[in-house]
Amino acid sequence: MGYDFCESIQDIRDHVGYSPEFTPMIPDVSAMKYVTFMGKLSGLGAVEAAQRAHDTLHYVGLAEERYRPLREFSTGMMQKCKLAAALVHDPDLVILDEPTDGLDPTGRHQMLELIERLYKDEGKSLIVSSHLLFDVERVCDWVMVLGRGQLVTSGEMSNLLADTSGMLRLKISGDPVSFSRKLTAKGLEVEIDGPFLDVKRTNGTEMAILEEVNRDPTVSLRYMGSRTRTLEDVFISMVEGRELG
Amino acid sequence: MSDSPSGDDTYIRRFGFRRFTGVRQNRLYRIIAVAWFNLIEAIRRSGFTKMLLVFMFFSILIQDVLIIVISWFLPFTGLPITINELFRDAYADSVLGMVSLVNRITVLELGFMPFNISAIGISFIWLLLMAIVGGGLIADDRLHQTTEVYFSRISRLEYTIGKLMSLMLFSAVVVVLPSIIQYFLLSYGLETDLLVNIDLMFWGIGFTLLAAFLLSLLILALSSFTKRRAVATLSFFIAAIVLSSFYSAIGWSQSESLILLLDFVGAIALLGAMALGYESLDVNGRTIIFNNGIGVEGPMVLAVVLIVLMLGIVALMLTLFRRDS
Repeated sequence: MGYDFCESIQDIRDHVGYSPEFTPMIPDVSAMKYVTFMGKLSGLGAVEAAQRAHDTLHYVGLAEERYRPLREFSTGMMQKCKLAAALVHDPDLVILDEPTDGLDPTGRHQMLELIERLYKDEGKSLIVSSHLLFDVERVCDWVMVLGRGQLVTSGEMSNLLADTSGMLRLKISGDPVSFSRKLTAKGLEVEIDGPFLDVKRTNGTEMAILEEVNRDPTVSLRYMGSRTRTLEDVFISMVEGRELG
Repeated sequence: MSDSPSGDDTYIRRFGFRRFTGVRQNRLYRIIAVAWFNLIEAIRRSGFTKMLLVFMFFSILIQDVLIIVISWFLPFTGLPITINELFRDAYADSVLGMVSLVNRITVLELGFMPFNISAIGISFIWLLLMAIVGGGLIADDRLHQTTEVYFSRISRLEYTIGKLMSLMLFSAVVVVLPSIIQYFLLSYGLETDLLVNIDLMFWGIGFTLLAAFLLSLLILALSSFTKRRAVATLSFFIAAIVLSSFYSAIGWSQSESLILLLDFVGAIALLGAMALGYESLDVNGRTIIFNNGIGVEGPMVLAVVLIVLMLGIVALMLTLFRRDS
């Protein structure tokens, strides 16, 4: 953002939106009043804060509920209200701590869509802190993995999820054990991983597999491609590997 | 000219997210926002507070009207003091009465009892209102975890000043404004020149603001210690009443007993009288002389007020600026 932390801490505050993990609440206050107040705290004038509170609550999907007191809000509504409060002053950077925590599948989907819209349509920079790695995988393009308070690894999502083992993953209909024996007999290195077969990729591996599938009438090929990893796989391998080390 | 809106001005866009292109307000605006929001919400949510406010308003009104009515029927001829002196004493007495709890602190001589009518009840109601409104100001934030949201937008100092200002604004309406109104009403009743005693009105404003500041500081410090507003409210109110009661309960045998100094609310009133130049006054009908070298002395009163001030500041800062707060 181009600010010096020590000299411009107040300016930085004005350009950062923060939605905490817990639920900060003023129970008897309506969402509208709460978000307006948050806007005023970030330096918006009274009229501007009220107008932006209307807009932001509408944006997050709380237009109908904006005059209801916060104590009547469900977890999902409160998550949206927190997001509205974090956005009301138009920050450049938004920090969301566990934004999908406690949400049902529909609420979670809506929240993730909102987050995607924020950086795709509105150009906001977002930092999402979450234990729900599938959510992180869906909306983030850069990941920092923390374990025991230390940075374990960081990088672009696509790089982290890319398979570096050099294995080719197969899924077949038929008996994978007998098929793996046939591939081994052809000199291929094969590992069985549940319903999948992982074959060490060398020159002509794909052709050898296709020939074997063609030759065996009891087998048909369902999938052949790179082995994919989830963020959860990465997290477990990184953190566990570190702990073992 | 086309009627169809385009770009950021479309109807849908205006109800969606839009960039903020205005100018952000200064830091003072945010402090006032904290003060005003908290004050309004504290009053709005409590029916008891509203009832007490109405009761206090009528108490002050009756007291003021009574002063005028009495002054109409009193023969002011042959008094040992002038009307102007009577005005000054009566006004000072009335304002001091706003900050006298159990101990009746008065600068009026007993011979002028008709003017010795400042409602001590007002000080009780004010204290109770301060305790109710101020008790939850920080405790509720800690309970509902809103302090972190505040601190992500404003500094801890701004937060503290905002909360303090909230109680100061409240006191301004509850005691400072009535003290100004009383000045005009009493001046009207006794037919004195408004401008001759204008210093007295400024003293009234300063004194009530000082008392409001000290009491606000204490109640906020207590509120920052706990997450339960009831604990802060009750401990403040009970402590003030109990400490104020010691002098009349134990120290009655000596008029200059140092136990009087335990009454920290009363000490503010004593300091107010000293600031106005009074060298002696009556507490519960007994005379206290500030510079006779016996018992309660002027510097002691000042020390008590300063200790209260320091205690309030240190306690508030310690809890609010703690790393985990």
